[in-house]
Amino acid sequence: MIKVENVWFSYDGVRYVLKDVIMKFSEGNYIAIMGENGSGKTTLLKHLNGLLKPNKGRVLVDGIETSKIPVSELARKVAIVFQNPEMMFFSERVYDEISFALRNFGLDEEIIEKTVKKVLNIFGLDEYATESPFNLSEGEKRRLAFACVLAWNPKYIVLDEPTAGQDVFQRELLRGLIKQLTSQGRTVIIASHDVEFVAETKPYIYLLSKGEVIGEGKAEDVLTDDKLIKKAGLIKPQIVEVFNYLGFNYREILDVNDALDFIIKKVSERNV
Amino acid sequence: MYRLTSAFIYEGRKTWVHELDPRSKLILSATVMLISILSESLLIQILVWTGEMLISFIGKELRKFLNSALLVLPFSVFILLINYVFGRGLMASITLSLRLVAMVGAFSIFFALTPPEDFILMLESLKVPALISFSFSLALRFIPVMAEETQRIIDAQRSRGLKVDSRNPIRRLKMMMPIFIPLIILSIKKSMEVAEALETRCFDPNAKRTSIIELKMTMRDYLIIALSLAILLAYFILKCSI
Repeated sequence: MIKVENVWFSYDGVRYVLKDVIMKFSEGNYIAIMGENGSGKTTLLKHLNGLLKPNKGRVLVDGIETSKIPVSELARKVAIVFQNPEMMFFSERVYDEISFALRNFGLDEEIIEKTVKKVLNIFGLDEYATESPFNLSEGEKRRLAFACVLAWNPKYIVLDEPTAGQDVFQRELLRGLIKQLTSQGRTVIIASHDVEFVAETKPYIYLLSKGEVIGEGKAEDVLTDDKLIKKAGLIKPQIVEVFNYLGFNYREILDVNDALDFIIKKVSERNV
Repeated sequence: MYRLTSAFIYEGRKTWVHELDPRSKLILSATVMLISILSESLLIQILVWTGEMLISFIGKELRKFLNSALLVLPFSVFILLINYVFGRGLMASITLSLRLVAMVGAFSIFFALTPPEDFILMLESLKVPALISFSFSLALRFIPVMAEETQRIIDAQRSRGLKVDSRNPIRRLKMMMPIFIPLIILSIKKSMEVAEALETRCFDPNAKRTSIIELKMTMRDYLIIALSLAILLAYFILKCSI
């Protein structure tokens, strides 16, 4: 479990970017940290693997305080995929790019080879193993970034704005990936202001505004709360807006699929 | 990283020092730098640095000025050690290392207290070709962007288990590769994007450009220039008389 306990953080020692943040991420859970740009989402994510240390308060990963152990050790448990995948690429071959972290963790060459091949296969990158990562398409680069991180089987997977600039196919892939990871008992934490994606995937939500947690709860409770969503500088999912406009207030309807199920159910009830 | 490099970045603050004509600030910075370069006296170096500190304090940029000293501290200590080891004497070695700090401080007081647009206008008023003045100012504006980008890359690689704090210099250099390669590639991409953005906005370096703001010297500027020249003159008189 990751516990964020009363964390305060400032980059310049003057203005606090995080203010008394309290959060808890349990095993196998899927959590979204939402808020407008500049609300402190990425800063908070960087605290989870010790890239940033709190000025006040503490972050505990499986009971270990992040300020007490180096990032290179914590990274084995908490993996972060940043918004721009190109920031992490430097190898000549896709194969080397994936094996980089495994070598950093001191694994045997035999295990590395086995793992890289398996991961290449999972993410459909087999045919690009000897290609340069920079020659891949944007979607493939994104997949490679996930492959690089998931290769070492981390317990906690943190994704920063995973849907930014992604097409429908990539979003679908991401949805499937999150589902698969959580079903394996791994914790997935995303930072996003993509309300529609969050509505589709229905995680437990923490709302951040100006560095403070202004609300938390299940997706159906948070995303339908007018006041809270406005306060966080977000807008409600379109389907919720449409249903509200029509005079309905069903908290369980957050995306098109929910709406479709609801309509089919109502129509069949009427026909009966 | 960003905190340190921001020592040379103007961040929108407005005091009367910021509002001075960039030419007078350039003369002031050049004066203190020249004195620092020419002088071999520890006392003069301390005076120069204190003077720079006072200017940055008046311009409410003391934190940035101290960051500039922090940025060159490792090099400064290196200079001190090398000179001392090779028998230059402690005082002379301290003077040399302090000279570097004072020179970088002079850069900091000029760039942190001068808006980039004033800087371009200054270069244009000094008849520097537009292509050079524009490239220079663009490079200047990109320093904080690149510093932030570097930090992001470091964070991304550390998240993949990269240890950047090895004591072995060769190992340390090797570990820089995963940071430098993405940085170079992203920089090239960014520069191409900027070039395209400029072209789409009809940028022509050879065209005669007009400006809505024109530089104007005020009494304060003349006083600053006079003061700078007086200090320089006093230094030469003092140097010749000793």
